[in-house]
Amino acid sequence: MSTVYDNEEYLSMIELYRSFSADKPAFSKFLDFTIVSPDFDHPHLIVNMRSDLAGNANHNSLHTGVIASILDIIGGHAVFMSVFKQMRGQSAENKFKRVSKIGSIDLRVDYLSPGTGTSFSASASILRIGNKVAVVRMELHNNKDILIALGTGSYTVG
Amino acid sequence: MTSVFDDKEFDDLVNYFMQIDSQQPSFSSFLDLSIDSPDFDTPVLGLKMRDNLVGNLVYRTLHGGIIASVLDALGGHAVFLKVFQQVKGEPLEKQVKRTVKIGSIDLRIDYLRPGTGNSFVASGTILRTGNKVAVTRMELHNEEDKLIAVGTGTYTVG
Repeated sequence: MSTVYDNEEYLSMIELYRSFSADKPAFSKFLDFTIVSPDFDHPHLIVNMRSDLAGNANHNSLHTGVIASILDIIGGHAVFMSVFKQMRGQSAENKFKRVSKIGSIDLRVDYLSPGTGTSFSASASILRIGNKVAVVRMELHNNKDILIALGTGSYTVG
Repeated sequence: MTSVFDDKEFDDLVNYFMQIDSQQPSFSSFLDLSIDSPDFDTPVLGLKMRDNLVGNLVYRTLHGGIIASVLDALGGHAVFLKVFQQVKGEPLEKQVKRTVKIGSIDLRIDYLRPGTGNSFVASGTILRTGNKVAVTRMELHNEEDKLIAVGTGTYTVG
């Protein structure tokens, strides 16, 4: 089975990003998610439950801010992969310059069930991508496949 | 200057939750927001810029997920202050039992500017509280008083 990680062009871009961000702490490093997208059209990431991702009143479930963050990230990742597809063949520097401009415009989250579970899986699909703005739908499921939250986001395409 | 912390009863309730959190740090400990509310009708939370809150490493701006988390926290804090006023005078256990039921139902964020700055202030108002659900409006400004994001949230009242 092929994944985005079999794609050399993708890997060289990720490598460029890693070397740039290596010694720089960022929020995404704190969340410590793993991207498991099977291909460029199915953005997918996994986060494991940790106590420092929990809400303070209820230590068994994800903080709602973390849920919003994960949905914001998988939506941005969907745009990232879509922009990457459009820019295939261009230099890694060019792609890096373009994708660093991807940013959130708005985000709407509906919390459907408490964020309980041992791991969580976020996926997204792009509803529309233009030259300037993309609109994405996001979902968060737990390890028992219960739908925890739904999101809709818009992003600048860069 | 007076603040909500001049109220001994409120102080006790907040300390109760802080103590749980110090035993097992949650995402709230990570966010490390300061409660700067001058009174019970004016919810204000403060956030200092840190490396691990950064989203875009190129522009060094707040992560969209952090902005969402802070506004979510502010809406929850607004409802917390409101519910506290209702249960004031009752025993601590009753106040705890009621306030732990406050939870997010949905959240909508509009990102207006990149989250640049050294410190940020979240403020907001309750648009409506019923017996079950409260609706809040939230804003995030930086130290130069630039409006970075606005939000609308719905919360269970407990």
